[in-house]
Amino acid sequence: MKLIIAIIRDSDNEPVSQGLILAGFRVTEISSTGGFLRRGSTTLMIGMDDEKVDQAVQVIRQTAGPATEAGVKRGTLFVLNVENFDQV
Amino acid sequence: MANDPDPNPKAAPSAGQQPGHDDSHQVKHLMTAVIQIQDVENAVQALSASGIAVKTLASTGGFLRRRNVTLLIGLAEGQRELAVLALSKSCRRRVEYLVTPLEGSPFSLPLSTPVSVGGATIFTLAVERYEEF
Repeated sequence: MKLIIAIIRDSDNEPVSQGLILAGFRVTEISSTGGFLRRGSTTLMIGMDDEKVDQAVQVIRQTAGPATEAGVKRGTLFVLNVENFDQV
Repeated sequence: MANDPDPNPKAAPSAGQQPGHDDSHQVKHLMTAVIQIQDVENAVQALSASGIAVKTLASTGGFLRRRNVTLLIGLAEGQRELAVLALSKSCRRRVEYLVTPLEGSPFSLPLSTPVSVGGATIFTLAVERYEEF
């Protein structure tokens, strides 16, 4: 089991979340702020089985809009290993 | 929810295990638990009764776009079961009815769709280094 923490631009939240949900992933959003420019960003938490990580990354890459300004990254992804997953 | 029994008395027996400031209480795991907004008070109380500190973040579910809460919980070795127990007692799964308007109908007949809400989705991650100051 892996957990992807994806930091994306606010404007990409809608298409990326929809794309992930259509692909069968489950998403939790946290709205966050970048530390440097203080722009609004969205942090998505997506849990998945190990073999689905590549697919999720593909979906995020494809659904995030094109870069609008030079030097502004479209997304930052952290893929973390989940030691334990519980659902109660 | 008013019909939920108070889960806190059951969590109370572990109240004696307050964290010490010795090496035995080193945070080794980070638990993130996504729970329903109405369960937050009970969950935080149940966790604190077990001697576990919590931070809450407001978050939103991706599918129904409902507001929920993400808890960040630092855990020492062996506290995971305690935390899962506290969360399972305080965050109950239940069925709610979501009213959606019937599309294409000349009358606005509401359609009740049962949705399962509540419960907790819990990820436990390893912490490489933890500092407190």
